[in-house]
Amino acid sequence: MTTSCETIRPLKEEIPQPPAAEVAAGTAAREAVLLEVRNDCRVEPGRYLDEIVVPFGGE
Amino acid sequence: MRIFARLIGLETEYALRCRPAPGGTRPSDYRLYAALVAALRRKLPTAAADQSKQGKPGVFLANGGAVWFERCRLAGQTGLVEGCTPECLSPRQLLICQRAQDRLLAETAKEAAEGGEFCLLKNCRDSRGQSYGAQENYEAVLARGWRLAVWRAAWVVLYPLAGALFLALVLLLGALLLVNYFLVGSFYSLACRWDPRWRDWRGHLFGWHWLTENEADAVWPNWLEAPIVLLVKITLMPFCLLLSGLLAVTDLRRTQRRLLGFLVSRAVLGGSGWLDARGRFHLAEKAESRRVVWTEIVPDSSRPVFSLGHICKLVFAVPLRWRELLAPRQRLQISLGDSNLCEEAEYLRVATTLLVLDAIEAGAITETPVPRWPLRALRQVSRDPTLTVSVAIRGGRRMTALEIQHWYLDACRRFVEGVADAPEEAWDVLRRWADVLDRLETDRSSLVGRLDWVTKQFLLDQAGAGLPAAARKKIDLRYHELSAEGYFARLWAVGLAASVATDAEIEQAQRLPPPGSPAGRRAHYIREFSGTNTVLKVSWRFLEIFADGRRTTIDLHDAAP
Repeated sequence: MTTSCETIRPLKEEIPQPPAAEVAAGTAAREAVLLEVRNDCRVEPGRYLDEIVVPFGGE
Repeated sequence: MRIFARLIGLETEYALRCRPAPGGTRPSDYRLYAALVAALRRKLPTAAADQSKQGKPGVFLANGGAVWFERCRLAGQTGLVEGCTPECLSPRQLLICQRAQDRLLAETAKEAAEGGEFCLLKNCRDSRGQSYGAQENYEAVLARGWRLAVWRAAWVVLYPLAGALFLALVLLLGALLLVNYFLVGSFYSLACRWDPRWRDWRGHLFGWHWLTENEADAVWPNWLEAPIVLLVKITLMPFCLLLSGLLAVTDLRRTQRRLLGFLVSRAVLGGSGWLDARGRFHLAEKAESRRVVWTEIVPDSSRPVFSLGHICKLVFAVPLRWRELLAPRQRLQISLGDSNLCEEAEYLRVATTLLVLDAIEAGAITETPVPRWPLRALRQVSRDPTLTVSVAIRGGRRMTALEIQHWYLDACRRFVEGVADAPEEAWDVLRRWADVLDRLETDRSSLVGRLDWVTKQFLLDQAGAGLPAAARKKIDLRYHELSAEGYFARLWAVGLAASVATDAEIEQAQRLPPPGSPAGRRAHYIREFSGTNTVLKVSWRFLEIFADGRRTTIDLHDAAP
């Protein structure tokens, strides 16, 4: 399954990767967001779900 | 052969979430929409849409886009806010306009909140699994040569049929309403003589519009709406079948058939992730809700992959829109894609589709991997976050979604290589496409913040592990909330989501139309008629101005004013 990625040339430049310090900061920020989400999602989830009802849908 | 040289646009339905201030009551969705539009009018020039012609309340924005209230049938003033981007000329331009629309509506909803909480959700499923959401529009070749001649000749027969059906429908609906008014009206007059409190039942018996004069209220009673909708569907069914049959001989159908394998597997790029009622994770929100590929047997509720909606609007337009209906290029409407929060996912969803479409129309893609059972394949792909399931392909092969995507990627790469003046953006799309497919196989966690389904699955696995179903479903939904409290927005705020467009580009697109697009001309007139009583009717091709009892039509593809 890697053949096509090798053949997809000439691709002129690679997607830039962040430096290690940024990766570490990103990991800390990610953990903080995960904690926020874990706490928030347990607050009245039923009430939240009841607030998002679209009878018969759309399109 | 040209790449990225067609008009494209996105329509997005946003769900409304409102929590009134303590002691308050929740306004109807229509009231919330009205508050949103009032706040929009304070922020930028807008012009009113002609509701009688467009079929729904709405406003046009100075950037060439529009905002509508999409009323849910059978549900009173319940509905969705629909945002339409101006038509654009490149995927990056479209992404910028879509982000500008998301941001504009999110900020405006916050200003319109009046004490409580009011925000929009950019997703495609409510908490009970009902489907709505996004629609993609790509200008595409309808037919050339003899196929175009057949298309045009067929309307000699089809158009009178459409007219007859339309007339029959009007007469039937009129008769239904008259019978209702006569029978129920007789009962009501007697009842009011007996007890004046029966006057409170006027809205229920005859339709709330007559009391409120509210543009979102129906002119018929709510209980009569179900039979009316059924009547419309039954009456229009023969026409839709004939139209589907006619489209089968066009180049557009051939293009759709060649796109099908790509679209079935596209959820690996553009799926938003979804928890179904049993708590199972799917790649895409809309995959399970598709009922047909292209034959819309029951108009407006067939939930197709490819919609006929645009052509139906042209056919039943008053006055006639022959020039658009008989034109060799029409809108290809795709109703399959999810709304995205990740910029790169949204960009790739549109940009890869455009590249495939360009390659197909240029004759560079002919023999594609066509799923043997497209709807089943769609569901198989969406239900498999491991990306290992293979789907049956016509001819006896089986391929995974990633193999199908690689097939199209390779075909598009060969196509772009063969175009001498291929834009740099095409190479950028190929690069991102290849990178994402590689990472899906080798390093999926690096796609958190780049692809929605990967990001949502990450949140569910990491933050929602072991939690009750309702809390996990809240993660599924609040991920899409366009407010600072939304879970994707929290990731974005701390720099954990990749961006494609710059803040400056998005800010500018909130006020101005995309450069070089025919939407620029429309935006000129929207600004001119902003704040007046003049109402407009708009399509990608024409702008109609209704003022002082006169109608003026402007061709947006003509030279600028």
